[in-house]
Amino acid sequence: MSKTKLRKKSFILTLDAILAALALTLLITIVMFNISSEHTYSFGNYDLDAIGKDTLAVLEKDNSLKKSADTLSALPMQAYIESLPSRICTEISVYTKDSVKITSYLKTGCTIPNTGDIISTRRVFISSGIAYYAELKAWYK
Amino acid sequence: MVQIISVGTKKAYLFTIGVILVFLTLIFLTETFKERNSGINKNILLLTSAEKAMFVADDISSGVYNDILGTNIKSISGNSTMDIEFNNTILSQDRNQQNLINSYKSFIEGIYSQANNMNISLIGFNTSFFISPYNTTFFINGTLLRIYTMQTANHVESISITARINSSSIGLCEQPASDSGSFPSTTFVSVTYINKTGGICSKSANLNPAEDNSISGKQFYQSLGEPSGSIDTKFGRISSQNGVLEISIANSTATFESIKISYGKLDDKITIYGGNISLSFLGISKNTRIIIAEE
Repeated sequence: MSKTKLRKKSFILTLDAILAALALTLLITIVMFNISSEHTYSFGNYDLDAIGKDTLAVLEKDNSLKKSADTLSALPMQAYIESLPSRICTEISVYTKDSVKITSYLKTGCTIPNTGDIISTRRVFISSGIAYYAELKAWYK
Repeated sequence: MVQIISVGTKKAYLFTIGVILVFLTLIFLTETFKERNSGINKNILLLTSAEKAMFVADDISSGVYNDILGTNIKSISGNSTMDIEFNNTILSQDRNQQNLINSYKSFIEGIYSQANNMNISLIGFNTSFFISPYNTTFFINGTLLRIYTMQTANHVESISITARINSSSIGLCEQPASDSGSFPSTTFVSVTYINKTGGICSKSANLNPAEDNSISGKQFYQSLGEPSGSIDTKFGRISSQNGVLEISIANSTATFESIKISYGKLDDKITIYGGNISLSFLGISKNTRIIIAEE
């Protein structure tokens, strides 16, 4: 085979490879875009939301929130917060009706993450005729 | 040589077509995945939004009348009559339920609404609540409690009240004269005041709900000492309305161990309700009545 023919064949093969690579990249890009463009709702968030609501409802019904507001202490809420599953981290805060934080408690061994999903739930309660609200933040460890 | 190139070209075409088909299938699958995921997300969003609306409505209404008005519905029961009993009701000049209700309403419609990204309104939310099917309105504020039985006054067979007063009693333990007749033309009213020294003022009378039963403006009246004041319970025509129960206290505090109203039986179930909660967010609207108690 002459040198000219070899060069011509190499050129065609190289061009073919480049085109194939481009087509492959394009197709992979389309596929990845389709997968990633749709935000997937995490069922983990749904669970955290349900746990948050349930926790606040329990703390309201057993008067722990009222006691915390009356004593300006998170102590009445601690036992229940600590009894939550070990994988779940929570921080609970109690506010006046003017949004002034009066007490807060972070579950032992947890730190509030800078990234990732944190679910926030609130519940209003009344002590001595005055409204307060509790906010519970929950995330997975 | 020509044949060899031809076979190679055919293989290349087949390979290219195969690769294209594989990738087209992949694109089709990812599109399907995307659409399915989108549908699931919409359903989850609807589910969580509906749950959130229910949670918020429950949160706002749960125990609110009991906590703010200080009135608890102890029981709804009955055999020959239907009895509704309230306890822990407090009348005091130091309490202003209207202010507390207004404060709660502005908190819910302001800060709480914003915190939950919702528009929330409390409609007809005040110091009154209603008892159905007896058309009864219960009102309390500070030193005054009124129960309007309105045009169904004849349904009230008896009223029984027991109150502990934070004063010692002095003076006469007064009562109105009984009216002639019996239920349904009259209602049996019995009142017991227990003062802080253990003294008891207990009186009863059959009263016509359509008459002003006051004697010199008083009915079941007890003057109080240390500090000096009074407590008065009235039943009948009050402020141009028939069948009104009114309890007022001056310069003291009364804690009602029991306010029991016995109605003649009706077929409908008893529902005790307050105002309405209206909330809207993410295109979802919910309007719900605050149910305080049901039979």
